[in-house]
Amino acid sequence: MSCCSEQTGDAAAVASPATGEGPQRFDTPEALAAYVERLRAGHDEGLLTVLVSGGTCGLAAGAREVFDALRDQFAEQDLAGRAVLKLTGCHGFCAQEVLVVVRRGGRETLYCHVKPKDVAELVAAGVAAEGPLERLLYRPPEDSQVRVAEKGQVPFYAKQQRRLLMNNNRIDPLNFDDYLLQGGYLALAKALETEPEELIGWIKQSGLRGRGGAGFPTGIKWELTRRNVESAFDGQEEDGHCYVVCNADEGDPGAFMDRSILEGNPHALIEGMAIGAWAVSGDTSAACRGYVYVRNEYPLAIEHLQTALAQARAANLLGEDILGSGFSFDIRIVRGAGAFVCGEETALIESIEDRVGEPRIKPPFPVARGLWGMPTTLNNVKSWASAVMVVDRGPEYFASVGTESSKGTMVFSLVGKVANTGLIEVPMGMTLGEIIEGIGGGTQSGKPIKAVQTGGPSGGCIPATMLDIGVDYESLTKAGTIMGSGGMIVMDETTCMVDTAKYFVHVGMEESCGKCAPCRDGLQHMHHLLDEITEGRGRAEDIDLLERIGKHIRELSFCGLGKTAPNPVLSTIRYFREEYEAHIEKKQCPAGVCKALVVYRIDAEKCNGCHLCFKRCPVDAIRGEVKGPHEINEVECIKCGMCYEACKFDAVRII
Amino acid sequence: MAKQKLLKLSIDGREVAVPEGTTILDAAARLKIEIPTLCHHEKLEPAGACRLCHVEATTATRKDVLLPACASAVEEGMVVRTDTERVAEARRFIFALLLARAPQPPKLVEMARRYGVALSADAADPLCAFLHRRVEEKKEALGPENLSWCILCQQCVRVCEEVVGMRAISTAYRGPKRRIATPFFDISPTCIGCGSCAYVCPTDAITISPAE
Repeated sequence: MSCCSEQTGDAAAVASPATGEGPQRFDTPEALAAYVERLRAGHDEGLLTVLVSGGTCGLAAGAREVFDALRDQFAEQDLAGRAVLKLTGCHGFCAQEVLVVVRRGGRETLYCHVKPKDVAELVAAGVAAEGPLERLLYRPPEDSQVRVAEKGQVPFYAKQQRRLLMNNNRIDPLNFDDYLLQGGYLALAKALETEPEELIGWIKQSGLRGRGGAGFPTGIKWELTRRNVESAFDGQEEDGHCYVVCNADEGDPGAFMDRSILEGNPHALIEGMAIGAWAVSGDTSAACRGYVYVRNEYPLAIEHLQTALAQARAANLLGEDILGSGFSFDIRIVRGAGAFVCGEETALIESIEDRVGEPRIKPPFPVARGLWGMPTTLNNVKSWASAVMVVDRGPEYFASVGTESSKGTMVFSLVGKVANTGLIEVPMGMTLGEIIEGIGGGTQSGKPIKAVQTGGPSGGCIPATMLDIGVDYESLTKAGTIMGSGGMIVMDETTCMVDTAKYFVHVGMEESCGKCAPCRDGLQHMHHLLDEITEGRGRAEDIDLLERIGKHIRELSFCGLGKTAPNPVLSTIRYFREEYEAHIEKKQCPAGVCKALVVYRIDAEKCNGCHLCFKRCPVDAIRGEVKGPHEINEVECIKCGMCYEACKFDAVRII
Repeated sequence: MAKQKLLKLSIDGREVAVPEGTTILDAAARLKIEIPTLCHHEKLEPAGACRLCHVEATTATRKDVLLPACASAVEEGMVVRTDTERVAEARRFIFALLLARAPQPPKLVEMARRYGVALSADAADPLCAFLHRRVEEKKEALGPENLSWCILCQQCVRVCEEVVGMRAISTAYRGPKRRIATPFFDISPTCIGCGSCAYVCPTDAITISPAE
């Protein structure tokens, strides 16, 4: 028995080290259930387990090196059989990577900022169980003396409800047994023994809504697809096809929810899609096929998904006659070539069909005529994974948290100027304030929160005065933004709202496919106006023009990209109009961001002549002698901000 | 063949019954109600690209929504208005955008003028004045002879694919940089010189020259 589950990426690695059996192929649901039972019987939950957070983010921070060092340490101390080491998916606490969790007897100790040189001490502390290694424990920013050992007590985790992300913390995504041990594929087995109509009923009952952002009820989408499958292929003997598609073309700047699930728990997506395939096509004459459309920028996600697909096929959980049920289904991966608009469902379908990724006219909707003209159910990664939870734990469990209209939990990537950046999962309805203050720990700078942006380039900015609104589809829409697929960007006083709006409009403009006039040309003109304003050339009528163009783009655009792209501008005008006016009328940028509108000056009272700014200035625009007063030549200054960052005495001012 | 179901609707207060599947644009044509279009052609599949044909409609499920007439099928009991201020303003907006892209084609300039849109420095509409400035900047940068005449309606691309069956031209790039192009901007190897693209072009942006 091996103590380490090495990530080999080798598709053939389906041998079962946990039970000592060979590769498994399940011909019946009972065979699967019996195997899971054997896995559970052989599993010692109390065993010392060391988990390294190994998403793309963790690996970039050095998780691979830490993992290798731990493996060497395990070998050195001959811990086989006494301890387990795993490289898991992302644990979410980005700000504290590399994260290592040591689990022993049901207690989880969280270690932050772990480096390879720390592992000997860390393993020793874990094995001896004499108490945690103090210096690597989580330290709340407000009190440097306090150390929090228990993972569940760390505020970042304490206020979350990690349901969808639970396996990210526990399993090695490349180890098939790890997923099975958590009851993996038992939901699929259960689904295949359930009438499709009843299955769809569960999804409807759970209240699950599309996690891609629009929030369309998933159960109804499945039901519509099924009706179309039934009517399209009624009485036909052959050639009937329908499709289930996963939208993993996560393109919003600062969003990494779907990637983390694909990397850390790829089997959940496969299982969810297989359940969906049975729901829409089971007991009909139509064959169902699956596609995962994933952006090519996610190599680790693609690699893990490929491995998982091979494992599922080898185990008879994909392919012909799944679990002996007579039902056949398989999934292909299609890589997106880097167009944001391909996250729009019909553009995504066009792209899978090898056509230019541009949206199609709706109706007909994909549920009626989607991929290759056939009924198609297209859901986000989180929606598919949620379906597994609904089937596995029941619709009541899923709906036990959330609000009246938005059930379940939502995964967000909490980024921007927040102290605890990371991947979080909270019940729908939790207020933005609780999320940002309670989980995010407020701003990193300690300055007050100014706004929070949700929904990426399609969303809007909500001011700090409205942080008491809960995150559910309706409340966010009412506030002028959208749920989106889970991006959440926190901004403090040093964020210029006009500049922020310009950034997002630029994304929208660059990523517009250019098919329809309002989106293609309207966004271009909005960007030009914002450019003028931030450069100090804004005119009095510009705010009205921005609102007018934005409103028309929203109403007249072809697809969702254009219909939502003006939101960042319209919402910032709605809540931060005075900031636009300051740029236009006073030629001032209150946040000190827009370079054309600020000057850098040195406060003579605070400057002690340390000369650091003088040395850093790349254009020699600073005059002054060591221990003497310093000055900035405003004509030569290029406003790069190097002096501002260099000064340890707050003597450099942005005015 | 089974008789097609007829749907009743009203357009600008006038009743009309049309077969299921008819677009609002075609239903309006029965009543001789003009809805301006630039990307529509009766021999081509609807594209919904120019967005000029928006009308205001109330259906059983939606109230006062703007719908593209060329790409929206009629619904039973639908009430359509083509004569509201909201529709007129939407048309002005689209015309202004298209004129800013292609300010010179006489056909486009004349059509826009009929709907009350002209880009000029002293235009009463601030949008038209703003877009006029942008055109002037572009003229300055590129020279007036290099301004595009194309409004990217894609009728040329579609006729080549759907009617001629050659697919000799296509769109290239995306967003504001989009343009109509032959493969690699070279002489298209599949072009048969039929002239269909030039024939359907609503702004005369395509010229046919004899092969060398």
